[in-house]
Amino acid sequence: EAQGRSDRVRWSVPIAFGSNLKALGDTLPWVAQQLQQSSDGKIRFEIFEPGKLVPGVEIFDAVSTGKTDAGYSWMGYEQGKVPASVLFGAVPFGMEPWEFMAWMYFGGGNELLREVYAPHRVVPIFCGVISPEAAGWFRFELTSLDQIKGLKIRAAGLGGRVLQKLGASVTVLPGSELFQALEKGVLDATEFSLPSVDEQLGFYKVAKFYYLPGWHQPYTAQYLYVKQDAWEGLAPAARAQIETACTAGVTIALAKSEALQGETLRRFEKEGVKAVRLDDEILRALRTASEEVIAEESAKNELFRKVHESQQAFIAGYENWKQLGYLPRGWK
Amino acid sequence: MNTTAQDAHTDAAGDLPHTAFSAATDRAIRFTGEAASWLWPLLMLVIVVQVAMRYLLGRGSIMFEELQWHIYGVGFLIGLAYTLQTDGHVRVDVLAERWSRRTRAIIEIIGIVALLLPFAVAVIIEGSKLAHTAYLLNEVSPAPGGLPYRWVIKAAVPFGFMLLTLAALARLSRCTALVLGFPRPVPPR
Amino acid sequence: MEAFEIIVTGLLVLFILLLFTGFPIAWILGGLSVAFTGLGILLSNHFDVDTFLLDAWSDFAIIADRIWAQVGNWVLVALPMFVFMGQMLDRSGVAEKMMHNFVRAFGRMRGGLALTVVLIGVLLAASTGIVGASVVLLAMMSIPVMQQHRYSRELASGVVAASGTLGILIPPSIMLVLMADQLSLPVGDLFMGALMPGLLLGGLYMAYVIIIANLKPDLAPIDENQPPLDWRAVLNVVLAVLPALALILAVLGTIFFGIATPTEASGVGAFGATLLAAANGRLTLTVLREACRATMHTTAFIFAIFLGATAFSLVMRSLGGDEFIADLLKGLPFEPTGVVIFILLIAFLLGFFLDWLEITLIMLPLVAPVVQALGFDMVWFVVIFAVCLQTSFLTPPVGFSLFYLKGVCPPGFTIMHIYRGVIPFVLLQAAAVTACFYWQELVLWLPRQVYGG
Ligand code: NA
Ligand code: NA
Repeated sequence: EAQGRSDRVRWSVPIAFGSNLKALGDTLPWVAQQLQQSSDGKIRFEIFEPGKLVPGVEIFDAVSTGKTDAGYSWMGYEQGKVPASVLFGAVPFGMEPWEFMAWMYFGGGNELLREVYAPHRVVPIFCGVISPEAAGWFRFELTSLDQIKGLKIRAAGLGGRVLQKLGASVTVLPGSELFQALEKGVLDATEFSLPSVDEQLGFYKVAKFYYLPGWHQPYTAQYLYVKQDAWEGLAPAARAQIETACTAGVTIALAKSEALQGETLRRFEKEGVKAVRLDDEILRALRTASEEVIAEESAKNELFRKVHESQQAFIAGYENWKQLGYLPRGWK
Repeated sequence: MNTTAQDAHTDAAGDLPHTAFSAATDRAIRFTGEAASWLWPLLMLVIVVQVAMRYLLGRGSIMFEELQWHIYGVGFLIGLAYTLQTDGHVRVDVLAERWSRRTRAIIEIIGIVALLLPFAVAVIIEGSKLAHTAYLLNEVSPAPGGLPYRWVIKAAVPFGFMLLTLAALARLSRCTALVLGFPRPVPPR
Repeated sequence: MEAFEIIVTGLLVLFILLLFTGFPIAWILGGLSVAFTGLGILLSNHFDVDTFLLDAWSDFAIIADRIWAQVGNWVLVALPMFVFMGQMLDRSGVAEKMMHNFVRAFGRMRGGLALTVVLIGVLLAASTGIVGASVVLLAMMSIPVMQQHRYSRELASGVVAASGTLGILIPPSIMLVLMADQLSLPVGDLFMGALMPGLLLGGLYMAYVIIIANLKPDLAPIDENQPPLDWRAVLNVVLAVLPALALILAVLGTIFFGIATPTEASGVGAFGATLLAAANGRLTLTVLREACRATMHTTAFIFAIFLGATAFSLVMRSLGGDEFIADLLKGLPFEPTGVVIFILLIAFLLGFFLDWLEITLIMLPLVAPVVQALGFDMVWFVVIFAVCLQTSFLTPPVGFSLFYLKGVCPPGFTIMHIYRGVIPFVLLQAAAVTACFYWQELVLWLPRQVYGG
């Protein structure tokens, strides 16, 4: 930084999801490749797979304490330190992916994002969004709301709190024990990710009921976290190149994840998996509980409230277009 | 049949003399180590209760899940110093066995000064920063219903390595007492 | 050779040299990582040497986050719990009674005690994936008895180290979970695929014990004064073995019937052992206190090695160690079978100096696409690769099972006994790899039966 603004970039970039996971994990490697080509090799990211430098959940810390120049992660692992972060990562019954993009780029999202992270000396750049997750893998058919009571399910973050409100026995079992726990029945159910990622991890072999939609995560957004000093040391051209590549990353991630899911669900059918839509009664109860959880968080944290209100205002303004502008789902 | 780590080890540097400093420090380390060793049956009970609650009542608790690794983390971090004090850390002693007491004590001095202490001090410094940040941000568990006050468990990292540093200094004084006669050896209690 | 490659080689060589000074392994690993960070900063900033990514203190400062990740690694809770279980079995007299009765039962069978160790090792492997836990537990229960019966130290330590290491291969296995994650393979297929090779290894160990005990009776002497085995003695054996066996089956049962995860099952096992001690009237405050202290010592020496190793691998990685090994792989031959043999050989050789985690993280992403492109079955390849890496726990000089064992062995066992003792077992590992290589069905049959095509 002492030599002034630089157009040469060599950053160590740990990523939170393995690059073998389609749409979820391979976006940043693609962005890095684009950057290296478009900058004629001046901008290079040394990518570290999860755990090689630090586990995915620690990436925010590593960047904010200046131990790496940048990192790529789902925004929300740091919700214990930055409560508002989770609103930028995924919100139960929140926006749809392109609606979220609209809010981020043109609804004030980006400005709020910078505001939330400035105290942590991190400049986050929106760099990937993917299709809704699934509600999860169940060992049995879910027919009524009562079954949620005592349901042994693995779920993280706000979604986990919502399920707890409905009486579920929520756990945060480590990923390494997940498959066996579901197979043997320590767990009744688990949520994990997109259908295509869930397929890569093989859950269909041990749980035959797959519930959708992913009410807890209608969009899942990832960010390139850049150390503030490193960002400020960049020449304007390098900044523009990184921001442009990330905007392309957002597009590519969404396009890829949308493209993959239909085929994946069909393959599940062949494996004897029943992909089912969650019952309306259950969805309504989940929504009510979600509103409560979010209200509680808003009461606890000022920035959380501010970001949430901005999102709600955008959703309200967009609602009529969403209803009128598109053919109704299922319309024939 | 009762073989444990502590009686399994012949002291690498033979019978080292005690010093006033080492005697006092070792007492403190032994006290914390023995107190902390009760964490293991506690951990066992936490696990059993968690399993029983989830399986019998369908009511697991994330607090109990997190409590498990909180207990184990504090346990092994405090154990580092306790085990150093009883010389329980593993050595490859193929050659060392044949060397004199004095030679081994000299190697121990160099090892402590050049390897152990720099590592311990580095972890204390960086670990304290980690705990300090958690304290400033009032960090809590990101898990639904997880434990608050993350800085406490994060502070266990520098705390454990501070104890380790103390135990290492005590041992260093015992080695220099043997090699250089300084500090003056004292008779064992 | 590039500058950073010379530095990485220097780091590794210095580590192995320092090992033989007899200074504790954990602090050599940790201390060298700090020293080489200093060296890296010095060389890159003042002498314009290419030290890869290591040129600032912040590159090492990330150690705090890595140690924190160890604290938060819930799965490792199983380690102190299995150690505590072993302590309780030991101090309650259950283990002693069991082992002595095994001697009665197998008194006239050469190598009987060692066979028991393998059997218990396989059962333990099915309940934990933490090698340190199995090795330490087996050692506590069996080494003193084998010593009492004048087993050779080499055979005793070899059989314990090898049997304890099965835990990383026989499911549950952290290693297989990580490999499944890295390659997006269904972890269930890997678990099932590793089961037969794991049992095969157990069988090979047993066959070896029987053969060597008969060829060289001095290694595993039989007690000539043993009274003949009558039905009364058999009944005693059954009665003595029952509690411990019931405990192990209870641990396995809680996993199998979905009552607890393997991690939790370790706590349940510790609790069961404590109840057994109480039932034997041995659960006094002194016994409990001694068990707590011993658990503390054992847990701490193992975690010290973990912490040292995480610092060491961080620095090796920052110095470009991964790229160094990647370059080694550039010599890949083109003929398909040769490629796989070459990869396994490199993994085996790296295992002498590095642990399985490092080798997996570095090598697997590099070689997997190559092997896949050649049309090999990935489950098959990964399982063989896993058997190779399991061997890394056993190969001197840097074999973590050997270090864990050294930490709990009675006086009189030197690391040299242990190093010599594992050699035959390393050869058996190689035999198992070869078998799986030629009979793919050893790996692939079971997953197909359980999960279908
Ligand atoms: Na295992
Ligand atoms: Na090895």
